[in-house]
Amino acid sequence: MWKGEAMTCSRVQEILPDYAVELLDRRLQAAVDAHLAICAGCRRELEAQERALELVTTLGGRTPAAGLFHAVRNEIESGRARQERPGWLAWFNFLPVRVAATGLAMASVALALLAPIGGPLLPPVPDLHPGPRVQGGQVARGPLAHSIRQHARSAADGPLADRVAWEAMAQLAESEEDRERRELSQPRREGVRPRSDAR
Amino acid sequence: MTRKVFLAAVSAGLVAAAGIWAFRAGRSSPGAEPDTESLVRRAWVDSKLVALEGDQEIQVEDGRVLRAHVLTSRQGDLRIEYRSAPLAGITVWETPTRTYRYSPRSQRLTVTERLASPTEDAGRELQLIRNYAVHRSGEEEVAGRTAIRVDLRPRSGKGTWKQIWIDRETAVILRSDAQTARGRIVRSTRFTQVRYLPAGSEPDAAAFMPGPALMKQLVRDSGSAIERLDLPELNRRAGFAVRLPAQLPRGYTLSGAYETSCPCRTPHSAARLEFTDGLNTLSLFQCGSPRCTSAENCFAAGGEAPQAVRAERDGIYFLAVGDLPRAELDQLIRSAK
Repeated sequence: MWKGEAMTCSRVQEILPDYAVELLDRRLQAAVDAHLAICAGCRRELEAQERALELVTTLGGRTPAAGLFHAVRNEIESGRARQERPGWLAWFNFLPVRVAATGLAMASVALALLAPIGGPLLPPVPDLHPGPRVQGGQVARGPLAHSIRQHARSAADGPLADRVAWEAMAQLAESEEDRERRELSQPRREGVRPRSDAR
Repeated sequence: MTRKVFLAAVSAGLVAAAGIWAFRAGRSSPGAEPDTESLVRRAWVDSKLVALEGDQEIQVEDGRVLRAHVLTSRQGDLRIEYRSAPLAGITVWETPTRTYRYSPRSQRLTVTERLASPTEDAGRELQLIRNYAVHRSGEEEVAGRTAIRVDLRPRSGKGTWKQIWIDRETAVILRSDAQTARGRIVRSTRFTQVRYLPAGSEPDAAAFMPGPALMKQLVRDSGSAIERLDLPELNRRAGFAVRLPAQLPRGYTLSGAYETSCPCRTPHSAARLEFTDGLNTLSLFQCGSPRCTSAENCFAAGGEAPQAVRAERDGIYFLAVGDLPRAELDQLIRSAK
């Protein structure tokens, strides 16, 4: 601080505790004296501090109970010292909340165990080979068998085609074609009209 | 129960649930295992180059269950011997370029050439991935082997979808189910037993060709033309203007136009247009030739089949065959112009 500088209230109140016990140097002491002479607010602050100091002096120091330090240390080291609980935990004092939380945990475990992984929920895979079943007697004959055979051979060349199944389809159709061919080698049936008549 | 014990139990339950979920997701997610699409690619490329022999059980469209013995080589050869009625005795030999078929009933051996194009395969692969969502749906044992189950579901539309079971080690497809959108299995193939053949013990090339005695009965299979034509050439050969559908089922594109024979009694040509969505194939047959002798024997005739729809429009007989709802096959024909 410069010599002769005017003291502000905030600066004086900052150093009042040291002033009260005469710890300031002479120049600073004089500057505070000069300020207190003209500032009633700082004088009241000084008086309050002096009263507090008198009280401490009057009552004197208190000696802690014997063993208090060790008791605190033992409590900390044993891990029994409790932390303050967050308020939301109080919800768990209510039975419905406990039941709901238990249900949620059990449902989560069940879901994790049973739910399908890696895609949308899928329909159950039907039984693969339930045994022979003919669908309403639908059979490709003659001309249709001829076409299905060609289609099956073509489909059999697909990259992920059921090669053996499509070939079987083609062969079944071909067997049907052969049967038709044998029938046609019999005397011509009635009712087969030239195409021009059919249209 | 004190509040502290109760809270610990609830927390443990939730943590256990999270742990179980993470474990299961980790076991089946594409991130933890080889990428599912890569696995499918292996299944359609590498698995055809594995030497094995095994027995298969096949359920076809009409519900019949058939049995066959299968032999394959590392060169992509295949032999199928059907062992149950009504196909018992029928044998198919296939090399990368040819397919031979022998029927003991007709005592006829036919041969057709095969289309093999890596470019085409790559295009079809892209189309499949674009049109189908591929994801792993589990792991099961098939024919004593650990197999990864993969679903291929259409990203849109209601066409047939597929589940395939891929051998975890060899990528061979051990089981394959084609299902309708409603979950009805329309076609299914599965190995009931399989044995991989170590190098040195696999059969030689002769196992994948008919014997010399059968070769004397060889005829070309006229019903399975494989030459792809452009439309003007197909129109010329078929003798009428082939109609192209204006509305295709979602994801399908034209993959080939072929000359075929009309099934009526008079020998003449007809047309077959082939469409694919990468997984399934759709054929549209049509005949408008004035040489056709009988409507009853053209594409509009011949019993019933669940996957076939036919119609006559403007003097042309159509037949659509494919794994699609009948309404979509019908729409395909209606939009043909």
